Amino acid sequence: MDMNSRRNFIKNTGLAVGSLAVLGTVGCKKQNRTMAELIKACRGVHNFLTTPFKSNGNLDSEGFYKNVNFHADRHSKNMSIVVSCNLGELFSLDLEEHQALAQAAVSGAQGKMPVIQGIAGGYKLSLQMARNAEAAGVDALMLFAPPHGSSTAKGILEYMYQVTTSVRMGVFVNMVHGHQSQPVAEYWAKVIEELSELPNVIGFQDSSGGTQVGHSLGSLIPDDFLWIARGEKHATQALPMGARAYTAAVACLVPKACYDFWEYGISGKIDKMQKVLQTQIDPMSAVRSLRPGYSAAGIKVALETMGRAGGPTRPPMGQVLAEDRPRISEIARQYAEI
Amino acid sequence: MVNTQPEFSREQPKELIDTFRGVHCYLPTPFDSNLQIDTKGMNHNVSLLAQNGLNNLSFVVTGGLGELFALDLEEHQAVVKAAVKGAAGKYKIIAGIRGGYKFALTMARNAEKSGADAILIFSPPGGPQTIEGQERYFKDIANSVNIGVFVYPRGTQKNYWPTLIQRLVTQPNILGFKDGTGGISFGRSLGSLVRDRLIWTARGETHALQALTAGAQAYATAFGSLIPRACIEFWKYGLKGNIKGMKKILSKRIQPLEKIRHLLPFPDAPPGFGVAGIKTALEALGRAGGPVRPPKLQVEKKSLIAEIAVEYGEQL
Repeated sequence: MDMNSRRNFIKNTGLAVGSLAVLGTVGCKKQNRTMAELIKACRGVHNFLTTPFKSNGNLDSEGFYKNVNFHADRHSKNMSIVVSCNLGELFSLDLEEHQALAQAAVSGAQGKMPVIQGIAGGYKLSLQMARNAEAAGVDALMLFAPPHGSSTAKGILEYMYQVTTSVRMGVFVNMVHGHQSQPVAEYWAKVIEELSELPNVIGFQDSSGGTQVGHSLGSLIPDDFLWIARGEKHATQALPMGARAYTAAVACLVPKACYDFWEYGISGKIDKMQKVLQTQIDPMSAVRSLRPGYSAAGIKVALETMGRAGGPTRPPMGQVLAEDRPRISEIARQYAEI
Repeated sequence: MVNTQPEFSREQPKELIDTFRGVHCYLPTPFDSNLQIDTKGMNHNVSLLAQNGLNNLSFVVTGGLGELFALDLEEHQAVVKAAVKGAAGKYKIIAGIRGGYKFALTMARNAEKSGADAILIFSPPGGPQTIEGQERYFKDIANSVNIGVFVYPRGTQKNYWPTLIQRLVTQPNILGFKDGTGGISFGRSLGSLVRDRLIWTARGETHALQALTAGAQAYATAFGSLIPRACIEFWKYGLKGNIKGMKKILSKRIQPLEKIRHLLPFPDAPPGFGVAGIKTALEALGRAGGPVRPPKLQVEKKSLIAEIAVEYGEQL
């Protein structure tokens, strides 16, 4: 790492040097991985899991443990478990629930898959969530941009710097705001490039839908910094261009298909990617698009059909109508991997 | 999921909403140099404003200007308590509420326990969201408290505003909404509903210029802590439909001060990004301000802001 560049970063953000000096020597706490090893371990399919709730709306942490364990016992190769992000209703959780999910995920993964946890909610809340995740043994954070959209690149940089330097674990930067602001590629390229100089910032989830931010990172991609494509559509472009991971909403239902899609992607076999997408992933993803608002709720019903934990969603996420449940169950039985 | 039964009846809101007509004065949250909340400062700031015998004024704490999004639950509660104490029962305190479902429910209950007269519920984060989902979110939170509720929805779906507001009005303690549409056609379309049942709150002076003369009964301002009298006069002219009077106050007393929110020397600073500017101005007038928390940016032209504040800020 270029120390002059790092000094410029510190100067630009007006923050202390001391914390960076400490971070420069750390390894990943869990399994004593170095950050380089963690980047390697996080290549592959990022399996974004829903958060199961009981019928009274309370967290079902035991169900979540079993859902994670399902993957640890079957298909864990090149898979990371991503807990409490958008699909996991991160924005509806309180601090205790957030930490309980981290503990359940770490326990369920049995050390076979890295566990990444979403962090959001503003300055003080994010700092607390990050510390809790670290205490629970999570491998890396997925740090969302601060809520309430009107932030500058400089402001976001400072916010992310402070959260990142408060922990010793890996951090992925997520370009999505808590309020759904559309990411601007130029603005994010600057933020991510600067943050990439922090030793424990190990990659980013690219919500731009394009390849500009990934390309702006130059030689850091693909091996020294993990470029994570967002969803299959983006992955079709980005995996052959240097992204080495992608986020999958239906990996909980078709993990092998998602793995194949990823492997074909990093090998540049676009025809084969398209085939897996059309014959296995897209038909399964239909559970999310039967009606607006089914993105998480549809998956939960499909999981229940397959004997796993799902439950209702919390407001403002949509619920599946009773009349649509049979259709979702039918899709799950036809396409989900057993 | 939520068991508390509000005691509001359909008849009560009319009387209650009258007390919230006027200027909704948004207050920043003071921090000390370590970025810890300064509750004494908050209390002091509210006390000073409350001693002036002004009418038609409510204080909104822990809103966007109050860095709601940077506060944790304990801080939120402490700030609301300090404001309630400072207001000494003379003015209504509206506490901003945000976050996901569980977090927002807790914040709402804490605000009620701390003595807030009403809450302002910001739109829930995350997505994608449906109108039905937002309806459940706002109603569940409103139903969990026994104080007034204002909502601040945000959505882009077709017919979002009319559908959501018509559904929310069935919740007795929802007293009004902050209008994020920026226009007046939606508010106007509500007809007698915004006269008798809901307070239509315009967002800032530019919006108020149109909306107060079209049926809005309140307006939200970032400058009420610095020039409360000017803001109240502006509002009164608005209710009378006196646009000339509004424009005069705006150009002579409000807009000169507005500059402090736009002096940040960063090319990518979006319009309206100026919490730090207001805090610096308050400090120049001997009140509590302090730094802002990330991702908000600190002011670098403090002396210029101080000059403007001293020239245009009202003596309390």
